[in-house]
Amino acid sequence: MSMAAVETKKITLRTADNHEFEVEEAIAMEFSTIKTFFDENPDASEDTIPLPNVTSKCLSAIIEYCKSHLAFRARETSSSIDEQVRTYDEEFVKARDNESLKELILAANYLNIKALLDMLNQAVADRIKNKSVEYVRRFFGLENDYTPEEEAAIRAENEWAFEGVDPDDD
Amino acid sequence: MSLTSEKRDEMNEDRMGKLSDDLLLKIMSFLNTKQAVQTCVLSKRWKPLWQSLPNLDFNFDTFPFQQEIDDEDEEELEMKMCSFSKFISQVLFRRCPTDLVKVCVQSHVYDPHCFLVDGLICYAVKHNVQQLTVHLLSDCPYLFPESFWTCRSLTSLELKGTDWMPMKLPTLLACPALKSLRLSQFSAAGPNFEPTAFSGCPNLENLKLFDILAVGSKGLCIDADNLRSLVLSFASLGDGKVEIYAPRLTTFKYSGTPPIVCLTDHPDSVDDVYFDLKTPPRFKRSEKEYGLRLINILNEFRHAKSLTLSLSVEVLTKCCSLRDQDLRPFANLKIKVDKWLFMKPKSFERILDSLLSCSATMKLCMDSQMAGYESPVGSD
Repeated sequence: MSMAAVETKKITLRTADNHEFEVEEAIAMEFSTIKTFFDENPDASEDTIPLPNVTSKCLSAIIEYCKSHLAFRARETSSSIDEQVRTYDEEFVKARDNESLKELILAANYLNIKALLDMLNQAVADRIKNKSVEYVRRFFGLENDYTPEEEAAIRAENEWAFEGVDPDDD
Repeated sequence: MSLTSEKRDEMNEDRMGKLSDDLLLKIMSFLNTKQAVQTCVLSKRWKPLWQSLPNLDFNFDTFPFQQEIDDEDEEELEMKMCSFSKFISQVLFRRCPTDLVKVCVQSHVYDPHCFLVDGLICYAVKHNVQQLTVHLLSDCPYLFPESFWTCRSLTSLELKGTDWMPMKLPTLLACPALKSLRLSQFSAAGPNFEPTAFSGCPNLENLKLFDILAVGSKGLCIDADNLRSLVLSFASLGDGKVEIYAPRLTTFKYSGTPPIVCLTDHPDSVDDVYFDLKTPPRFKRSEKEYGLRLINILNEFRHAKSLTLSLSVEVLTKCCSLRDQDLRPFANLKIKVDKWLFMKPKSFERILDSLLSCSATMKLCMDSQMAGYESPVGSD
């Protein structure tokens, strides 16, 4: 077994658009999909790992996220660190449009990064809660395949879920 | 519609087609349950989705219903309660009978809605719930259904009562899979309380007891082979003894006035011990007894890799007699003090002296900076 004394081990990842990213092993291990792969194939660490479902834009954002969170975790826990983590997470999602949020969710799900996925899902939920039905449909790019009668029937049948809530305003 | 926006819609469709039901359910778990159910009107694909939600959160306070209601207005409260009650029953009736992972309920409990929480808990237990949180505001002692106390699927449980109606515990909590237990506002006294109530869960790793309202004369016994982390917080002092059998304990946090605590098999592995000691308003016993209890509890944990004391002025003045007592050496002591201590620098120095003489290393942390104070003791 070769001993890489001082050098940190790097893993190479190739994205769907054929970009290669070299990341430190510690960061690659945050991706549970990759961690499991290495656990089962310990000899494969020199190979380039293909990620056909992840674009380079997504991967670079995800790598940044994991790097920052690893750094936070290395410091001693305190309420000020928690505050910094919260601020970082807020900034991470604030500037992104709905499309890129969805792409990041798909990537985080594929790479199986639980903390990131939970954070992104919470961010999406925050964006759609208390919004009108039309807004949520637009957000997810959904077509309304109900006829007005069908929609009215569903609301009536599930009156217990719509009771006491103000009607939609866009 | 221009060509580009049509093309954009198409791309949207494609991309959204990729967000699996699983992912959508995960997003929906972060919504208020009532809003999650309302997604049934979004489209035909979304209609049945909510029925597979593995996490349900029924919180009366955050239940969307009209504007903010006035808690004091009984009529408004009753209206909201009826809607809330109906909502819970309909969700349970109409959802797919799949297993539940996490259920939270926060509610008032009063006639005629008393059986609401009962029904929900029975349903959750029957559907192999893993994490359960129950906060109840009730006017009379609430009795959990029997199936609850021996639930085989529970890994995490949080119960909270109120100070006017604390939680009633069973004689034995015996959940074989329970790893984490958190209780707030409960009473460890009374004829039906068994001191070993917490000893029936062999896999318990985390135990947090907040606002324990009294420890009766029978005391409290925590017997847990796998316990790693223990947090005890006493709202008032009783006469009882607290016994802890936890050979794998690594973290112990304690706040309140010192009861009589004893550890068996002084665990070698205790890493972090944190004491936040307070004086009760009227301590019945003598100051000497108080000092003895304090020393006792400090001695029990002296082997800890790190022992942090957070002390108020009153506690420290009661510790004045420490120097004469048998205080054994600490491995590593950290003291957190609040700024009022600087009002009485003499007592402070004396205590520091005695503690320093028994401690290999000692660190002093100020809760707030006090410019210009120079420590004469020479510790860092």
